[in-house]
Amino acid sequence: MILCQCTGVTDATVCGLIREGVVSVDEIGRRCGAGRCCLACREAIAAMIGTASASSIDGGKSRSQEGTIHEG
Amino acid sequence: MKGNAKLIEALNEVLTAELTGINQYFIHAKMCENWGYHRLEEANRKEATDEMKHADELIERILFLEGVPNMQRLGKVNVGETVPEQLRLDHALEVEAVKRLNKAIELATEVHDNGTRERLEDILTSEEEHVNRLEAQLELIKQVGEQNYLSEQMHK
Repeated sequence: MILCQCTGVTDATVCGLIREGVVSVDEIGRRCGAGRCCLACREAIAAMIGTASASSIDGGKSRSQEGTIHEG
Repeated sequence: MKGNAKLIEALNEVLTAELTGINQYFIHAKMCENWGYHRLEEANRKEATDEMKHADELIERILFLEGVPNMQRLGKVNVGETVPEQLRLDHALEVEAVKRLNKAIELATEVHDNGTRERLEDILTSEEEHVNRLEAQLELIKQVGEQNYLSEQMHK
């Protein structure tokens, strides 16, 4: 899915960054450009980070930077 | 005629979803055209036109109820990178639309606005047809395979 309409960044790219340990919407924006223009996809990016965090907790693994999702 | 404020907001929420749908179907139509899937392009264009007609009716009704149609608000347009993904995303959009419309119909019934209820029911019937079409396409892909399905989508 094309997640960010402004930059054409896909959900696969964002997923890859989350897998690398990025847990902030701003940091994802800095790394791939998504969510920095019209801001419409920031909510979706935050949800992807949230889902990844939740499944990580469910799997009994902790993340050092968990809960550092920045909005705005 | 002065309408119920909650119902006007509900109509505006339905309008937002319709305006979002127009954009989603339109970009999918253009992508299908670009890939050479002209039958799908036509189907997506028709869906976009249907959503536009719904938006037309909703705007008219909101104005009749002395509300302000919100043309500024738009939901997230979900663009699929492949035809099956486009179909899945359009299906998700329509399923949400059906839920939203049912809620708005309940509210219209509660506040005894039968004119609005009737219009929303017409839109609901149309959205359910969209859901049905999309489910049929997804089932076709499952049954005949993606490549066979796509090979049938090149000509109008």
